[in-house]
Amino acid sequence: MTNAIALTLNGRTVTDRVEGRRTLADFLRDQQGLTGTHLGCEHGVCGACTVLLDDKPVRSCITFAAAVDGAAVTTIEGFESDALMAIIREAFSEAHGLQCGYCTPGMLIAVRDMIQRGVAETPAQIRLGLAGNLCRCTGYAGIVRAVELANARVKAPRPVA
Amino acid sequence: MKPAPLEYRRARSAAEAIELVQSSAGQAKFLAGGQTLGPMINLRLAQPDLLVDVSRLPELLQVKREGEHLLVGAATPHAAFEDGIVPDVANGFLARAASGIAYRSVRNRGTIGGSLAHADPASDWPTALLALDASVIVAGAKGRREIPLTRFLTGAMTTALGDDELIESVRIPCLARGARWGYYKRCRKLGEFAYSMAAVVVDRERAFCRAVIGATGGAPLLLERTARILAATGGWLPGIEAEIRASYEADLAASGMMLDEYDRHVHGVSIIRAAKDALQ
Repeated sequence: MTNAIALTLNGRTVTDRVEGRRTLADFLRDQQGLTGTHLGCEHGVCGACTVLLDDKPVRSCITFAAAVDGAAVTTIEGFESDALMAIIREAFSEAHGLQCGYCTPGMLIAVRDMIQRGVAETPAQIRLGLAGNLCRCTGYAGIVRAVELANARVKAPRPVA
Repeated sequence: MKPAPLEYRRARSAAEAIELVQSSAGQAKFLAGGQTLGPMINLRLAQPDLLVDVSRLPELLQVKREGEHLLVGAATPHAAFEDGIVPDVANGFLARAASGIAYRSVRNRGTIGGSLAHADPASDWPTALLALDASVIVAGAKGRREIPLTRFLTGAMTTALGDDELIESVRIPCLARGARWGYYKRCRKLGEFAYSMAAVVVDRERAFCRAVIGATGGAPLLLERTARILAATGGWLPGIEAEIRASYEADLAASGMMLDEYDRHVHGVSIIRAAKDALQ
């Protein structure tokens, strides 16, 4: 038996049918072709699959697709015209906040939420906030610098060159 | 891994949820945030035939003051305590306990009722809420009953909840304004399940004092002798640490709980640090 769902996905209305066991992550990747959402551990530990559900970050690997009926979901593909995400993306690039990039979609979505909530003010706070997003390449130093940079730019926008 | 096949149903009311679980031919589970059940299902440690989603039921999302208690809907997510959306009737203890649960993206989904129903010894709410003398209000086919956590938490991942009973709300006593608390948690990595934890509440106005250790492998343990020492002391005075250590050892011995030397030491450090936070 499948469940009919209707949701707002990256701003557009989507209707589909999903198996009860279908996770939100698999629904996004396999049924919607949104492969920017990455699956690392598939049990809620690594954070690579983080998406926004009704504007709050959640782990799409341990959220059932059927449970998001009627909700709004934003994946990494849905931030193309988001000014805050543009700043974070640029900072990650500049400060070497990624190497292989597998964890990056989840990192970016988690960091955007941290900056919005005002909990990315110090390196210690950034490390605390990102404890649930694992990166196996960078050793985190570049990521922490990228978040510091992004947060500083959000607070005091750079003058236009 | 991927979940084994299962059926997902969203209940329109608590009564319908109970009915669905009760009438299921196979194994049926209530699903709230799914932040513990989800991983278990993905790892196929749990293979329910039916999940009944109760996460959006209005009766499980109410928060109201009832005299000297706060009644919190079971589907209230941890983040609502962290952010102060739920009034912190325990002088900051609720926010402190909630904010240490896993990671923000988990706290946005995971619920207080789900955490209690699951009763992982290393999770935060069982230990924290036992220290506050909270109780749960559960609904089942035979009606409602209230169960204090002292009787609800019976062992590791084991509760007094019947198979078709649903936690509707959690009743948390309000602390007096001058009441103090301490909470100490030991994890090797931030956000991990705790290796050891301890909670202390000292509320002299209400003549209430509790000391609890968690993450022991069984249900959180009430340390009654230790609580009496904490109630009687005038503060973090010279000699109090040795007294707490001795009473903790006596409480452990009386409980019959078997802990190896290392675990006994680590839990002892946790209770001393929690007590120090509460008394200093």
